[in-house]
Amino acid sequence: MGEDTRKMAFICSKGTLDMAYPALVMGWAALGNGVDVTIFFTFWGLDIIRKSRQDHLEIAPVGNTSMKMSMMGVHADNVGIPSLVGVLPGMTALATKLMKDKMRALGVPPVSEYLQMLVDGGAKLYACKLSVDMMGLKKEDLVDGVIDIVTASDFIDMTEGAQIIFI
Amino acid sequence: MIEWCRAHAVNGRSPTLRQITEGTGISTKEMFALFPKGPAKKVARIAGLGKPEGCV
Repeated sequence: MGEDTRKMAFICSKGTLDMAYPALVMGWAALGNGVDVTIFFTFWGLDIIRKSRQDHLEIAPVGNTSMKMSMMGVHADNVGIPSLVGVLPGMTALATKLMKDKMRALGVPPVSEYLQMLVDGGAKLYACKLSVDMMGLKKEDLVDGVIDIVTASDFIDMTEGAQIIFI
Repeated sequence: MIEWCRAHAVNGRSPTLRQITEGTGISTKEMFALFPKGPAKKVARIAGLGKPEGCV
């Protein structure tokens, strides 16, 4: 990579389905435009690179005011999902299934496959050391595409000159 | 692969990278090795097609 190559660095701090895709989509778009891509996974964002969890990310209807009944297949425009309904057992699983179905219908691959595409396209993945230690994880718990477990300071060093996007 | 893209162009636009890898069996890695820095756009140019539309 030459000095003039544009660089982007994504920091993934959330582990919900709706917070995983933005980095994957934008990272993939960046690679497709010849941009050098680095992704740093911290706190709950580690779920995106955990072998046991990456394809089990969820979206909860509770506390999400943008998730209306229309998302659940009921054509009711702006009618929200009552919080008391959202707490019922199985609601998170249902919302997750519906969102995954919609994604699949649009040709969007599952998280594991999408992430592998990014790795194959040259994206560099790093895990946050503090978060990995806090959650008692090891390198083996993370997908093969993860280059290393690094400190925040290392990340700042390696992303000099990059545009940073915090998700 | 260029021929495949021409055959699968929609409204004069080349397929997306994922459509190319799925349709031709050429891996993402190979595509980036053959056409570094934006394979789908480079393929579109060589094929004489518009750049692909879509986020995957």
